[in-house]
Amino acid sequence: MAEAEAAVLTAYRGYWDGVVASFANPVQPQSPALAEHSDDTALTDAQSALIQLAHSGIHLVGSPTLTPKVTGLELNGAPTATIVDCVDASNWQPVFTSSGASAAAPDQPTRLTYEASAFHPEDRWLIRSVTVHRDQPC
Amino acid sequence: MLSRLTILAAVASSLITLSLSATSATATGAVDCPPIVTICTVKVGDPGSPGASPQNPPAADVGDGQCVTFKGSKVPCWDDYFGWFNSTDSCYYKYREPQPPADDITWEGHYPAGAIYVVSCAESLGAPGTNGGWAWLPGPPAGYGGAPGQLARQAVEQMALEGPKIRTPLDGDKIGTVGIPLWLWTEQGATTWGPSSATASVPGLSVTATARAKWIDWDLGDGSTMRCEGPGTPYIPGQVKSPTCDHVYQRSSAGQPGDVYTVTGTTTWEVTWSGAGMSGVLEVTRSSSATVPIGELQVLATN
Repeated sequence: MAEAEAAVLTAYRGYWDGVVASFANPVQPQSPALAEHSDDTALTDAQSALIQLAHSGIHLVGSPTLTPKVTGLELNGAPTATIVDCVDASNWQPVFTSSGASAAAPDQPTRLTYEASAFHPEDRWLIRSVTVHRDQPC
Repeated sequence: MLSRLTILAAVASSLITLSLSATSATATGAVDCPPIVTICTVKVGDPGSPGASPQNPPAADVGDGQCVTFKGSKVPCWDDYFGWFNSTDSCYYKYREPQPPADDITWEGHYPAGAIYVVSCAESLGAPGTNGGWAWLPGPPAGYGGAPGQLARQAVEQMALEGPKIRTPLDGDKIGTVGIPLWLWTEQGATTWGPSSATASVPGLSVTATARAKWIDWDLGDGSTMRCEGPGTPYIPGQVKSPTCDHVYQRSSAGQPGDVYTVTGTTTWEVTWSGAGMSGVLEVTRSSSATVPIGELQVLATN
């Protein structure tokens, strides 16, 4: 159980490594860590964000502070897990690539609740969905 | 007093105007919240082309492998990570490898029919059912594998089809004769008459094409043309007319360039292709040429 929980969190942090590396330079090909650790909407939401950021000329500098907890783990049948996180983005800011000026909209909370699900379709845990609860600062 | 009221009213109305414009400025300064990103950003203007929609999609491929989103941004039609761009919903589609297990809900009970694709949408307009993530589709979506038949054409290239390998009874230094049917045929090989098959693939899609020659259009070099169904019949000594394909020259080739007629045969190939639930037929042609010397038969008339 503890082992599976650790494996889920490894996938989750690996996914975030991919997100941070990719969003730091959206015009470059995405970080291989994304597809290594995620699939389904967790992967494609990150990819959609990449396209949007690239078209807006915005990238993200720094990295967020994560405090994820595994809140659900089902190992019978098709394994699944749920994760809740309070993501602190004080040091993960959007800037305009051309000028380096902040691209953050005014009055945005910097700590938000994230909810993620993971599954294990083949040989490893993959993050399957990530929902940002923009109405739930933490 | 009256004039003072008027002034106040004027000031008030200008204040209203100011506050209205301030409100609309805030509205145009709307925020963008890209998925996963914590801190929403100021909204950046779209590049234009607001008229595009699922009912009125932009051109599928504007050249150089570039496609166009609903909002008018140019994106590559193929991306190693994203897959193929579908301009009817501004989303990328990538065949999921391996396909998810049969009990995954994404199959919606269709397993093993169709396939599951990983869909990444460039813009959040989102046509119905395509808001990203895994999606089951009965067959590849629009744009998948490039322009329709693009992979089939690639397969055709691999076959290296040729025009006819032209044969006549005039091999060597024989000279044909005015008024006598000249038999025309092609040697039959995989590249000259078929059938020939090849497979071309991209990740998640492979197309197998089979080419068969159907007919040959002959340009005889004397101003006449004809079509012969089939490959023609190899010359049978002693038989005057070919059962399938011959031509009777009315004049000698003397005076033509090199004193020969240049005969060009153009083979029409029918290529049937299929792969991943799609199929189609396309026609390609291949030409080749040969020269034939034709002389007058000298008849010695005696009384």
